[in-house]
Amino acid sequence: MIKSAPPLPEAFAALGHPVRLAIVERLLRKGEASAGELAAVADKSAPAMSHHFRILREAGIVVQRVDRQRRLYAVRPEAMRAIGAWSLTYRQFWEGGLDRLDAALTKRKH
Amino acid sequence: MPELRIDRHFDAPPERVFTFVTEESGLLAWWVPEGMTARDPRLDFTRPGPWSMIVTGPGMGDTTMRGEVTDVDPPHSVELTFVVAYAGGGAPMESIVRFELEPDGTGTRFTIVQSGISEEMVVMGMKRGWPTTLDRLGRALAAG
Repeated sequence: MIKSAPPLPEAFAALGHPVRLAIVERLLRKGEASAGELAAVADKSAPAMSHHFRILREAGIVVQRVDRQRRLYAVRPEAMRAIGAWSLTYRQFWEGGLDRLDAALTKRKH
Repeated sequence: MPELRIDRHFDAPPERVFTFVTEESGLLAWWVPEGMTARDPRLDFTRPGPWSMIVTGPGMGDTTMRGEVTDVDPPHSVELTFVVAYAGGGAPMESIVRFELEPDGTGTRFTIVQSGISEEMVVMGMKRGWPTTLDRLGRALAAG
């Protein structure tokens, strides 16, 4: 498992392709997505997408997890920090916080 | 860098939401990310003044969050500076955060506005075409 920030040249090389950049843009905007959802965004076939997912994973830009039959992809915050994309980590911080605030407001109502 | 704006409706009146976004016990209930713990919290957003907190998690060093509460207008808004320093070093990231609370039916529309984020793009061996890629990434982040 990759625990550290990706080497910068590999990260930049991974992003320097229009399909891979489209994948990362979609993941940044809306969070985790399935391989199918990302194929629709990139308008590419499944085998072509597998190739791009592998490059993004090996560069440490995205992580994959399997949920039942679906493969889900998400951007790694460390990768975004390493290439200076701070807004992503802040967005995740606030969105997660609002989820917890909602739960806290609901829990203490009674 | 354009501002980050996120809002959410809560089924609670503004006065109640305001306590959760200004009092320490309320802030600790939602500011600490999943799986992480807060150390030495000094979170009093009920009045202008300094604030700080250290966040740690498994496999990561301390992340220090701190700043100054600059304006409080109960139960409508809070404004603060927000400085984050990661354990790995590097320049702290500074920004301005504003909480806005508006009545929304019987509940509250709570908006977080984070602005003034300075984004340092670390570039090694820039190649032709890379600036364009960074621009697109920047726009995607701004749109998100």
